[in-house]
Amino acid sequence: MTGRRTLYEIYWEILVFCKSPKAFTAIINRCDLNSKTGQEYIEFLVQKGYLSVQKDGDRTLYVATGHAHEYIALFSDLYQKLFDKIPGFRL
Amino acid sequence: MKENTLRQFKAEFTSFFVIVLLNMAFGALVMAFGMQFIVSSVLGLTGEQPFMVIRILMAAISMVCFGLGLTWVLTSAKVLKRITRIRREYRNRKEPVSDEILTGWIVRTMSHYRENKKIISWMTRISSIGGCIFLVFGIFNVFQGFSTWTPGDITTLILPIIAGAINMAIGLVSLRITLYFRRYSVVWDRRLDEVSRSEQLLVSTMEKSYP
Repeated sequence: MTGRRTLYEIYWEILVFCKSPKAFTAIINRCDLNSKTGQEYIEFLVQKGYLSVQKDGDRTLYVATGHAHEYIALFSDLYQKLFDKIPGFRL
Repeated sequence: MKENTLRQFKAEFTSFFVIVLLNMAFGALVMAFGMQFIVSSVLGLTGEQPFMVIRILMAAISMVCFGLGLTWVLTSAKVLKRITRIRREYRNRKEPVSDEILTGWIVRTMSHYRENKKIISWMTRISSIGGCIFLVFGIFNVFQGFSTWTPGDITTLILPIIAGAINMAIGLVSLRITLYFRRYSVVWDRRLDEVSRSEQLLVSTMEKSYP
């Protein structure tokens, strides 16, 4: 997903993608991030307890926690409500 | 709630897609007319001196129209490119749409709007300028028809009036497109404002730590 996204949209994308364990490279590729900002975002989410770190041999995998699901649900609700609150555009 | 949201999202998306497509078609028309005028102006350059100056001036204006049309088409194509990807995804989807998929489409459409906000406003302006030019051409055609009309010869009147009607129709549709673009921008600007307001809730959620 490219384009101008807010920080919270990027967090949402990372957390949704990490519903099953994912490697760092897969996350930054999927969420279209560079490794520096990707590292910052992932560290923040780990620190806040939204992502947990799993070891699979040499690989480090990230997986969304239960708290992440709360955030995902809240975010989805807020964004879908945009279509209920504001009268739509139609031809 | 989700079904309604999905229905509204699809309806809005399709409407926007049609407008951008129409806009592109009008850009192509401006380009074609510009090219046609360039050719007819150059072909008429063999005339007398004062007439030649007018022809050169007309060719220059036609080149500007051609350039405007080309920019119009390219800009519309740029906007169209990304929305086509999202549209293809939801059209090809056979399985039920989950909350996350729908939210993902909304986020992508929003980031598309943020990225193309300036282009859309520029397209609105170009579309209204183009519409006005076509309207003026149409009025000029009708005026020309009446001024050159010789009583008894109906074709000298009918042909410019038909040309005028075509130009005026294109102009009016183009102005209508401008109106739709404005409406689309108003709706999405309000949504962006709403997102900024809602972000406070996301910030406070994120502030919580769950070690």
